[in-house]
Amino acid sequence: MSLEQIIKACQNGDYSKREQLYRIIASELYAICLKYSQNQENAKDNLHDGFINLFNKIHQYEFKGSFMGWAKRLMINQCLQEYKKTFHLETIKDIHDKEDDEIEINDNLSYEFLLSLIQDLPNQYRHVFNLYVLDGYSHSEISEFLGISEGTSKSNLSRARNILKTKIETYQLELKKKVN
Amino acid sequence: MDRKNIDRIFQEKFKDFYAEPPEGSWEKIEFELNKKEIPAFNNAVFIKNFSFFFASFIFISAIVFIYLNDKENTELIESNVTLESVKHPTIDSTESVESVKLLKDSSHISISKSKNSIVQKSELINKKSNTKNSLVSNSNQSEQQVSIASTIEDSLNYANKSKSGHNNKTIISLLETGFFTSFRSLFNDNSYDSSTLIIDTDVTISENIVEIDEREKLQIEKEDEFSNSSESVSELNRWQLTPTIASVFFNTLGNGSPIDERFINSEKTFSNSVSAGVGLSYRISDKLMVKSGMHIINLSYITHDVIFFPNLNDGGYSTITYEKEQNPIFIDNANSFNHPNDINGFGSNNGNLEQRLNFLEIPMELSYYLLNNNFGFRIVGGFSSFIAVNNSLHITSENFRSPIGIANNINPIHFSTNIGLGVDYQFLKSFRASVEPMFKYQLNTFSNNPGNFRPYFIGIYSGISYQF
Repeated sequence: MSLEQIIKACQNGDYSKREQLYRIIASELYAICLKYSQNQENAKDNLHDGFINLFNKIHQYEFKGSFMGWAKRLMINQCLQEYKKTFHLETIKDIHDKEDDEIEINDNLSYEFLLSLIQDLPNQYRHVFNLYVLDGYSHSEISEFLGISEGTSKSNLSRARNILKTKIETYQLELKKKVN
Repeated sequence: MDRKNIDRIFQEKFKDFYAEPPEGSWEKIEFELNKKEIPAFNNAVFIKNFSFFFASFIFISAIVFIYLNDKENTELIESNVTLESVKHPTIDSTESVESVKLLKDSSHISISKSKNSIVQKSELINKKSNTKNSLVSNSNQSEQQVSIASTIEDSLNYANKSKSGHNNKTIISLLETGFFTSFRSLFNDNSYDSSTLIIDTDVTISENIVEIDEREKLQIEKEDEFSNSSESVSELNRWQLTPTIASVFFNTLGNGSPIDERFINSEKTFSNSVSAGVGLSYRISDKLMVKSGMHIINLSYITHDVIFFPNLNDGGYSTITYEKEQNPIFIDNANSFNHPNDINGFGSNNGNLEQRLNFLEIPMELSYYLLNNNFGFRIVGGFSSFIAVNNSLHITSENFRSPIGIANNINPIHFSTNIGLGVDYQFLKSFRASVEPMFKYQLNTFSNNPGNFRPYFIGIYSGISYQF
């Protein structure tokens, strides 16, 4: 059975196909949850709630554009729910992006380590970083997503980069000391 | 070590990033989804939903009941005329045929209710002509037998003419939206007779006026006048029945006493009371309403500083018819120096003289509406006839109360001039609440009024009118 047929079956109320659909897309969606959540527990909750939401709204998918893209957006929205509910102070000053934001790295930086760095970021920086760097949204789209100005989006991204850069450099320095 | 852009580092690592969901995730999701499809019985939700639907049911039933009761007086009977035989090429297809009361003889009425057709004034003539032409061509009537009426008055006039011998006359009325209800209630008056009457309702006449025949122009202006007197007039149930209750504040202009001039300057206290009755009103037009009815009203007042004692000489009051079985009691103003001595030694007492008056009021008032929407505001003027029903006189003191007799100087019928205001509120289709503060100045209440007693009262009349 193709993905399209499974989706149609779910839309038509064939609940037995839900698990099949889950098995196909869960890994990719859980990865999104991990990126956007503060920790694994949070990610599990977001995955759970996100799938409930997905199956409740599956009839809204009209087969225009990729289903995975639609599902990812739904999951990102789910992960941002808590953040959207709280009021956020807007930054007054914009920090200029440094175009040359390069660092020296080792190839042995694992994704678990990098994931932990992302999860450790403050919420507003993490979300902007994920949306812009990892999921390819523009600052305009991010500002709509998060209810912030584009300037704030850019500032948050810059701050996120600085933090990540500092942490990576620190980590590598300590690694070097240990080796030596 | 390589130099890389920070973004690039993360992008490369998280490209095609997948993570196996935790064990048991799907089972939890499935459980939650199944729980949603079979909602558990929730007491609070059930009670809340049940209460809402029950209250809605009661409310809707009440509205339907009142609406059906409103319709009862039209006594709808199935008409034996179908509209198939009558074609109206310019009128929208009929939605339904309403049946109305069968009038005298073989008269019958067909009603076609078109769907909110908006007719420009310029098209109105064509519409009427086309209707007439189609009727003539589709029935066995000649042109002379078909008349076009554009207003309720015209329709009724034609109907009246048909009564006087113009049988089988067909009258086509094109009435604006909302006119039908009052037209129907007028038509239920049995003095009107009619042949086939075709009424096209739900027609709204738009503002655009194109050149029209002078005669037709007059006709349309008449319609405007009729419709401009507010659509609400056409929808009015003209009669109103109003059970009324009123707080009454009784007093007199100036001083005086209807009993005797001896009490002119005595202090008097007037009692407040309640009047109850029923009013019947008829709405002449949008602005005017005439009202009558019947109310029972009790008035009383007390004359203070009265002395009294048993005496053969009762004081000689010509205005009092004494109780026959009562021993004479002398009554006088306590401040007077001319009363006889208490030769019997009973001792004089200080007290009050209480007079009670009981009338049946029949008002005749005209109301002029200054504001006439769901809220109505009007000025009221007119007069009332008062029929004397009962009166009494008592001597009262702290621990004593004794009847003396009745006043014999009260006119059996007297009148008042009335003026006041009225505030209405239409809260349901056939029900209107009203409050009327009225000032009623009594005229010729007493035939022999030595003290120039000039009573008046202010009544706050309130009631709920049933319109029909």
